[in-house]
Amino acid sequence: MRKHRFLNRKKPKNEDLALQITAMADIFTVILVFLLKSFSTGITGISPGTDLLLPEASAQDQVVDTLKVEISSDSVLLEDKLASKLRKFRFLPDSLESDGTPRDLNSAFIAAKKQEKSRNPAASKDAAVLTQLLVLADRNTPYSTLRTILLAAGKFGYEEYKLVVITE
Amino acid sequence: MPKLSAHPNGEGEQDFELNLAAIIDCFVVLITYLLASASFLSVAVMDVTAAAPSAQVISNKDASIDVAVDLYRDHRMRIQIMGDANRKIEIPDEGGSWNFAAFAEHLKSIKHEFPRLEVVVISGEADLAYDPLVRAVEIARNTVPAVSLGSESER
Repeated sequence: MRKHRFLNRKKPKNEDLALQITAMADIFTVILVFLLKSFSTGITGISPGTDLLLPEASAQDQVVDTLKVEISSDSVLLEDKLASKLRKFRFLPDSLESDGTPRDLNSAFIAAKKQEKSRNPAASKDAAVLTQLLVLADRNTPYSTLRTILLAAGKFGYEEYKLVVITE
Repeated sequence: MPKLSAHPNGEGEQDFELNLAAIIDCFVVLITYLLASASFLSVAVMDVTAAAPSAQVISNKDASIDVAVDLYRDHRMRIQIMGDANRKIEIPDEGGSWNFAAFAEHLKSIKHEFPRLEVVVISGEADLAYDPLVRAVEIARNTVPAVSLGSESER
């Protein structure tokens, strides 16, 4: 009996899948140029936390690499480290000193200043930048809390503030 | 290994093949790093200063007036002009929301009347949210070069 091979199955030929590396290099070059461009503008360090909702505004001032403070509903972060705890955007009453500034926030500013001095002993960094503070505050932050933090910052020489906003 | 190709003149040329695989490896590492550090939010900054607690206004050296703006939780705004011209401009709310258009118009007319005005001090009530304050600062910065944040406003 003849075997009918109804299905003439032929083994598929092993085709070498030629990877189009040239095209991949083109794509990677474009992506790399874009990312390098955004990296060079200096805004990569500004990454607000997921629970932080920045206000919207249009602004065009220059972003600089300076000390960053983040204000959310339950904490104040200084350079991404917990500086002070908040309760619904308010400082705890027993955390305030006689001048109205928070004790732990003052300590955090002192530590930040020391770190800056040890990093730049010759003050090679632009002197103006050392008096600037980047402020990332949630849009529901009460003015009293913001003012308290700015006063605390002012005690340690931070006199100019850069309010970070989302462009419309 | 570069291969020599025979040249009619007898000089050997070196042909070489570009090893794209190594370049791709470098690109993958670089792109991974930059993607991890990239911020895809469109952020900008506004420069402000803070007025000392005792001074509600910062004197404009060349201008003959000082301007202070107070924002209240009930969406009212008040512009106080002190110095050569003393007056208060009350801006009521507009249907329960902020009337920033009127605020911008008033500031423009003040700047037109006193071209040397350079600083405006903006303050808010203690419980005023940050969002309208930023909006007021944005509008003020379109009119005057510098904005300062003052002490909390009193009713």
